[in-house]
Amino acid sequence: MSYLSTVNLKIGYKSSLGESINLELDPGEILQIKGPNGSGKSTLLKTLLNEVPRLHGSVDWKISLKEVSYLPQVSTNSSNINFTLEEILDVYLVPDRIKAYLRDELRERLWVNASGGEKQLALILSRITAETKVLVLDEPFNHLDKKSRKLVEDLINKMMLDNKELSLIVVSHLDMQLNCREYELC
Amino acid sequence: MLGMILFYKLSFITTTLSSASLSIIGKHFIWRNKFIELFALCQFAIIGNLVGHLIVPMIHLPIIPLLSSITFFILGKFLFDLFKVNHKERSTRMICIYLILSSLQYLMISFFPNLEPHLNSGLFGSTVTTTRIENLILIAVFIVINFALFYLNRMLTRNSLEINFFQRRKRNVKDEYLLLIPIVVSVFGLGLVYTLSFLSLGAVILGSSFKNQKKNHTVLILINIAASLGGLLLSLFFEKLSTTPTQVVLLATLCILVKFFNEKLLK
Repeated sequence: MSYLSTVNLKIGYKSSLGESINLELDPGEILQIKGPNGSGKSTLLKTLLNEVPRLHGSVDWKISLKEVSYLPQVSTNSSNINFTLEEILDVYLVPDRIKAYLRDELRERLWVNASGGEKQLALILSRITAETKVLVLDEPFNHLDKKSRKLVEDLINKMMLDNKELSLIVVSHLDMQLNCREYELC
Repeated sequence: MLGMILFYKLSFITTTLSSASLSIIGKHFIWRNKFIELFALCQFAIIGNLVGHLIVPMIHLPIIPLLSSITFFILGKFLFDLFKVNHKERSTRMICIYLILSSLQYLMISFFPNLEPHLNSGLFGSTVTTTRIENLILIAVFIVINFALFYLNRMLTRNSLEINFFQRRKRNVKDEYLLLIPIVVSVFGLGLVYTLSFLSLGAVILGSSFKNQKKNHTVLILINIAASLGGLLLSLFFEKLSTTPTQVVLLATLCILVKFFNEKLLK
């Protein structure tokens, strides 16, 4: 049983962005949505999550939207955030088994002193609840160097290994070192 | 000495509660990058105070200036949100709004010179000149807000972090109206300089000086209370010292000293 399927889905605000979208997401799968700037990658995510109404077609979730966790694009002014990465996860009530993905040496790291990849790790973990079956990530590798991207990719690989039912939808125009299926928006 | 402290006992209580609350509230506005917006909004509160004092001779209710302050403040916040004035390029816009509203205040004084003492107290206020009723209102408001901040801490902090991390996304900012009430009451009773200083100085100077947020939080509250109480005490015993400037300078000094010694200890 797939988690999600779309049939002839058309997305956009006033007019359609591109052709009809037909995609499926199965359990344990990573789906990468690629496309040039302005092709509607983020709009597609927002449409799938009911934040933006669809123009045409259908979006069929076989699971509750409570089981879908979403990490939007990050744009932050971090200079005043004096939390440790672990304290941030505590604010979001992240379960202990998910917090365990954060290495010990990173737990006490202040947000302002953390690298881009370390911050992204914390933000990804902050989204995950006990019910999460699908994790949706919007441009998680933006502004990250190679080392930071590997940090995030390793986390994703580990999570997928530990939970065979977890699926990911990742919007990224970058090539990922992950075992994923690609869907290209025109 | 004890007699003077007992005479001003309500002021000591107000000072303790207000400085503790303001240190926590200020952090949320700094995390949300909305401090400059607060600066502009406080000008609405001062105008509301002046308008209230114009109405008092006609309606004879001493609470009118406070209610008018709150009304103008909330109206200002509502207009900012409605016209999205506080979105992009907010720093420049807020400074322009501050300049216009500040000029409006002085224009009101030129037409109604009897309002001048109220403008001065709106800017510099003083815990020692606050009346008994004003002190009791301030104490009640800050007790309630301290409880609210304690119980709603996680929700407020989460929302503040979300606003900071994902600045391009629309967020529900209705919780800011809860945080704004003690600010406008503080501006009314304790003055603009005291309020904005105790909202921000500690968070800005000691921003990332500690190992974690919990320690930062605790130290900041203690410093705020110490500066507020210390400044009040010093101004009572040394006639030449004005209360609010003494409190603010003491706060800045304590923050800088703690930062300096903390960095030395960590090295």
